[in-house]
Amino acid sequence: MTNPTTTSCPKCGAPISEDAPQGLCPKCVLAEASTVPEPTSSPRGKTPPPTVEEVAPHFPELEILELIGAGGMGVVYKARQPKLDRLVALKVLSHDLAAAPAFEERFNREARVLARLSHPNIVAIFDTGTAGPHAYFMMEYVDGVNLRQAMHTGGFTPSEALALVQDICAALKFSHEEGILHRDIKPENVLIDSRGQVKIADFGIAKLVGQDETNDVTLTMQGAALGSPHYMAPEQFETPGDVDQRADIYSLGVVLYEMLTGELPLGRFALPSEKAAMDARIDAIVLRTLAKERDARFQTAGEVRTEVETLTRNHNTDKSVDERTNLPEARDPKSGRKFAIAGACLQLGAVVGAITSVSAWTQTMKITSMRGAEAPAMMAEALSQAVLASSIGSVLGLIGTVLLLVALFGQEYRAKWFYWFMMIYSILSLIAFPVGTVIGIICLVYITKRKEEFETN
Amino acid sequence: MVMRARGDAPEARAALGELCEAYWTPVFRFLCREGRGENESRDLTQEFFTRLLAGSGVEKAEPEKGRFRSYLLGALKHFLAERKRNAGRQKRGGGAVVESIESGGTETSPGMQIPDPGATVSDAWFDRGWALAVMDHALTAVQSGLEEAGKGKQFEVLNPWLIGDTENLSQADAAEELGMTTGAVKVAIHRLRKEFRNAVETEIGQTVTRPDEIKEELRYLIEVLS
Repeated sequence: MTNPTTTSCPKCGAPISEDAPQGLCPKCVLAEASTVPEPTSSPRGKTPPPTVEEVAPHFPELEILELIGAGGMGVVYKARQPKLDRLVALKVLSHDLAAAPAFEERFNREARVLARLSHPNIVAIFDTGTAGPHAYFMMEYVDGVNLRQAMHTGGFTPSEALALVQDICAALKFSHEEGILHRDIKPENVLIDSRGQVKIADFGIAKLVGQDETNDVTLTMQGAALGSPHYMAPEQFETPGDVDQRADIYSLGVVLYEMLTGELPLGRFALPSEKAAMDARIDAIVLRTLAKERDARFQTAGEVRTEVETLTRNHNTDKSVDERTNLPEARDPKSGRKFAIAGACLQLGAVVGAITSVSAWTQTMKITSMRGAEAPAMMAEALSQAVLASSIGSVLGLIGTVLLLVALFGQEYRAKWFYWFMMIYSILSLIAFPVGTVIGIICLVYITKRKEEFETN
Repeated sequence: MVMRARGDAPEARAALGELCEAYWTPVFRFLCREGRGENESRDLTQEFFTRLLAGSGVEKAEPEKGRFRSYLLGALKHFLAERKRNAGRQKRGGGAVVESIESGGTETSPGMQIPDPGATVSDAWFDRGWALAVMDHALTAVQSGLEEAGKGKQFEVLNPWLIGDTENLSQADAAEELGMTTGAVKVAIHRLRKEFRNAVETEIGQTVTRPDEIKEELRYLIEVLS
């Protein structure tokens, strides 16, 4: 039994019996095992995809291993290239497409362009051509899952989503600079390999198989049907002949929205921060990628990336600490916490000092009204106690104040308790000291204005 | 494997031996549950399997009669009934004629009943134990596969995700523990689930006669766990 024994299942909450293998809830485990795996992509069209046996004779130089996905554009097989002893993904385009007029010439022209795209975040194309009735792409085999499958594996925290967006932007920036649009960014085309690296597949293939500048109606219709309507920019429907890199940015925005909320941004959609706890500034980025008018969007993938980087560098964007966003420049929330706790403790010390001092003063007052030989000595003692307590209190208070200010302004420490502590502290300061008046007002205004930062962190 | 286990050939016997070894625990637990002590149950389990393996046991698991689980329970009940009868006979001084446990096996119906409303609490207990054994075997298969690949640690840290998605498990913590990115952890979890799913199917596939019965059997096993 390798697991710490838990008494109840973290999923269904039912108690876990002692004989449960590996301490896992048997019912949840078997129920999960009985779920139908998320298909790589849903097969469309009526004809079933060609089987491994049907395709294999056309590719004598490959060992076709298994069918790994079927979509509107074609079918993908996992294959081995014995000559180089490597795995490849073989994408065989559907017959209907290959039958379209002038397809072959267009296909070859586009393929040459796509083969130029060499980037760590882009699935490399090794070869293209036609074999028998099949037009095909031979591509890098990515040993991993697509974003759709990853979303079904527990979803993403905002900082994970933003980290992925940065990698997607890197790929888009590169391809856009090469003059190539993706045109079909969607979770199924964003792959994550076993090391967590993002790889974008199917660059430009949407254009190749359907949308084409000639704006041939049937082809465009075909293209629209092939693409994924929910992820397409408005202009991809309205003016398919006039689409630029900003269409990819829109699609990226849909993917980001889906990663953050688990939903598509349909109609009057809610802001991501209304759906889940996250930095409200993410909303602004999402809205700018999803603007209906492309002029209102980010104009380049580089801009999106810079914006996301700035956000993740300065702030932890969600509750969990994510290594990728804790860049060297990022503030360490742990040290902010230390300052806040030390400051708070010293302030409490100062309060104790103040109380001691006040009681010593009261004592002094009483002694003043006393008569007798020992009165002056007692009074001196009480007085010195009062002075000592008040000076120790002041020193503690002063150091405490400095630490609190460092935590608040320098380290930008944002915890709920700290919000309320600073609130009480500021009010007490206002009442207690003339200097405190100034500090109190500043802190009060500051923390009140930024209340939501304390809520979300 | 049930198919393979049919017949008298030596390999059939070996296959049956494997199956029985795998499902020793549910039988043992069933006997305990019926109120026997651990030692008695252990001896009885041993005796049951010895006799089952000595006879041509699996002949009765005909395709239309379905599952090995049901067959084994039927055979076990028959074995117990037989034993009781013999004990009575001996008491009365009669000579014990040890019958093969299969003979007349149909009267206790070693064939299969899916959720049988008339089944006793013990039957359900047997099936529950069976479900746990299936789960255990599949887990062990996946675990040893990963350990061979040098990913034993991955299995240890990620196996809680086999229950499905829940907010109560932190992938970030798992990623930290394994020194992987959270993206890589998602990939690994996805793969682990897939392997486990396949292992469960393989495991159940050994106890039914037709591939299309696997899903039904799995559904039943989930039901008995509820």
